[in-house]
Amino acid sequence: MTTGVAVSSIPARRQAMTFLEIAPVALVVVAEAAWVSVIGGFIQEVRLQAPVLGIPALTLFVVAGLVAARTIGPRLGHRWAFVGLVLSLTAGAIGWLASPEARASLLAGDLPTAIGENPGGWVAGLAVLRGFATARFPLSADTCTRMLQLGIPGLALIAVVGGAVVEPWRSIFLADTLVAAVVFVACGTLALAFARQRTVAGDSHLDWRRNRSWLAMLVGAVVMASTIALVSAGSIGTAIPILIGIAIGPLVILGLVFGTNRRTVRVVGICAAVAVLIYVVLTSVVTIAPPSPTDGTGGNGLPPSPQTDPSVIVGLGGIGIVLALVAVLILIRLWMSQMGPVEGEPDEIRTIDRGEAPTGPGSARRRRRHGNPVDAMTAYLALMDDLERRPAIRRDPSETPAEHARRLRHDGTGDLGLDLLAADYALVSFGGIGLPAREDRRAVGRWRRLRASLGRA
Amino acid sequence: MSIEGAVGVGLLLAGSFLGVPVAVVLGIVLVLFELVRRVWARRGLADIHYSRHLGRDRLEWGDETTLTVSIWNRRRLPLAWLRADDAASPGVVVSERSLVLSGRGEPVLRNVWTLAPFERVVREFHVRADRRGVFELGPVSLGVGDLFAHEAASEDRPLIDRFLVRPRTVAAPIILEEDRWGGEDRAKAGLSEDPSRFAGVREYAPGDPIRRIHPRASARLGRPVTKRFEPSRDREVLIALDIQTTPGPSWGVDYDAEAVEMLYVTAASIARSLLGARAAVGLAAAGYTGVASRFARLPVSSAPGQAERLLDLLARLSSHPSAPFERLLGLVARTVRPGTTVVVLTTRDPGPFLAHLRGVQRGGATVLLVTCGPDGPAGVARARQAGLTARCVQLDGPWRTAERLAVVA
Repeated sequence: MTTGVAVSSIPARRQAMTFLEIAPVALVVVAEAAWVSVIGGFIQEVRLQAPVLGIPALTLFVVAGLVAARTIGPRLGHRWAFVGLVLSLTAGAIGWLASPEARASLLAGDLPTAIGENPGGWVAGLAVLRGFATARFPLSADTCTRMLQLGIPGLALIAVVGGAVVEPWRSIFLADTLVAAVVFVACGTLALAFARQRTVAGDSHLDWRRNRSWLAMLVGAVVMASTIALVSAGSIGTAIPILIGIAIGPLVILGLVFGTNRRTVRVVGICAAVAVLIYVVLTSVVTIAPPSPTDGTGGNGLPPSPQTDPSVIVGLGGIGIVLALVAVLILIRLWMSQMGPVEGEPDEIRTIDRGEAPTGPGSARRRRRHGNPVDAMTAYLALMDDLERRPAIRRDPSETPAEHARRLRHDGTGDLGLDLLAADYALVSFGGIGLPAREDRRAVGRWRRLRASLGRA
Repeated sequence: MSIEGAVGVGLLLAGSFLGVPVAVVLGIVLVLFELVRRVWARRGLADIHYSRHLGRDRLEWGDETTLTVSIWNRRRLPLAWLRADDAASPGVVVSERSLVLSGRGEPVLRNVWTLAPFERVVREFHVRADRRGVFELGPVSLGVGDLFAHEAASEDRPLIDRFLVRPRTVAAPIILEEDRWGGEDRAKAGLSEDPSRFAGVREYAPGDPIRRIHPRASARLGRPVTKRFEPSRDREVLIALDIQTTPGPSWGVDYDAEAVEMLYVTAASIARSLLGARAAVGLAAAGYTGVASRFARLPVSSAPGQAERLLDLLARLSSHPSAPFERLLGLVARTVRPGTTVVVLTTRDPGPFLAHLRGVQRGGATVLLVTCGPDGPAGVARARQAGLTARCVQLDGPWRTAERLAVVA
């Protein structure tokens, strides 16, 4: 298949570049909204209130911040910092007043009560602030990397601390956090991949839309990993402590039998102590009690316990993520069709060339399946099969067996045995001469020896 | 294991023991991502074929040649990106791309692709010959990204292509005097001979001039024999090139790049005009050419391909001298055959090496001093005062745009 690529106009190229830069930003915006929603949910949980702002609402706030930074920011110059702060506070106030209880209390003139209602809504200001941070195009891979490096442990830590709150707030919070965490990792990983690609390309024009197999595999891997994690989290989370509990005894015994030095014992001891300390702190010390009935600043009161099993919520959340990703794919597909033909490099020809049978682990497996060589010809072919995966010493298509053997001998990697094996092969294959049985045995012996020696090379 | 993988395992263990499903899910996702990365990293660059091909390895100044770069992903897995950094020696100009600085700080021609399984991409660039010299492309540094576009492997491959850019040549007059013994017409029929150097007799052949018949020898032998003479060496020319363009010691690091290039253009133009006039031409210069010797020498010859060999040598020569010009003249005086015309081409005042020129003359060679550059006429006058034959030649403009070389004095 040959693809001749025409050189498109400069506006079309600029349009394509803009699209390529916006795609990772859109993903990052969703990821930012996801982790901000976890913080908002945590604040609400601590206040024993149900969260008001979800990921979609916070996404709008992040987008608003991004748009403001790109449109208003450049015009204001150094005054932008002050205006940005005002915008963040305004957004926080809007998020706070998104709760009907907060609005009602404010209209009633009860400001202290109103402030106590929906404190998690103020994270809308944080979302706008994060929108400012993602306003620089093209998106830097370092920005995405930092977001994931800080975000993943941060989300896990918040989930651990949030898990210490009493039910039913705990289940609500953990279910929301689970969905947000998966959205965060999925969008963040995809955005990071696009941003890395953009960073590597530099000034070169690299269009990921032309590599649809990579795109499909990337999205597929993220969806598969998320699905597997959601489906298997319960069983794996239960199985690991049991397995480690079972294995720890035999491992200790084996360690004692085969000997351990003082350093190993010290490292293991420190790790165990730290693990126990963390466990004790997180399970015993951080316990958030339910509010007393007389607590004036309390939340909305205890809601009825969730009727639905948390695993069902998690499952539904996973299906929702998959559906959302499918929707994103459909949208991307639509956008791609609107963008016109894929932009190509001038004077570039792309072909799909399968060439000869691909080399790889399969060839070794095939040989193993066919068994060990029994004569000189199969011994030589088996050796070439082994060498196929090593570009430096494999036989080039243009080389005769004798030339190949000579080259390796001159390089110092081969020896006379390969010459003799190649000569046997040439006699049988090209000369049609039958070899005596003892020569076949010698050839198999050479194959075995060369396989080991050239393998080391 | 990468940091992400370690964090994943840590989250998995922590989440399992603390009963936090979020941490377990995050841990599983990170561990699965790590496994996927390892699948890509395991193969490295094993089935990536990269090749580079230059349309020509010798270019005239101002020419352009094609540079074809081909990459082939022979795997079943797609590649998020594949980067090839071809190291380029200073002065390489690619029309379609600007060279970028690699991590090692050297200029490279960077190509980045995103490749589907079994996809082969061939790109064609054009390399311009904007500077005289020897240029290299390579080795190539390849890097490949995994599914998540993280660098999975990198490798340097010793793939080097060289090309020469010969100096520019312009129309030039024949600076030698007319052949004293017969002119052009004679030379076309055979070697021009010097009748003052008798070399014996041979059998008479039909068409030999009657005046060439040796009467006494013919009478003694009883059959006609014809006189033979040594071939004339008036048209054997050795160009001795003075690369130094600034006064002072030869080991000084300063040189006038424009003057040097003008000198090379002049030398190449003179050599080409001499070869066009069927003269045998050679070259000697005290410059570096990439070999161990400090002197570059091309023996005098009129064999086919001599013009190309001479221009190749001029392309390889450095812009600064490797030894004093006086030492080169001493070497020429010892090695040149008597009768050869030594054309000394310089941009400097010939005063410091006039004595060496006389030494060359004493060895039996004819010396013709050719000066060029702004101080050329003064140098000619000084050489003529010393009794040497001298000419001054000038280009009719800057060496990049000049059309002709003319004798001005």
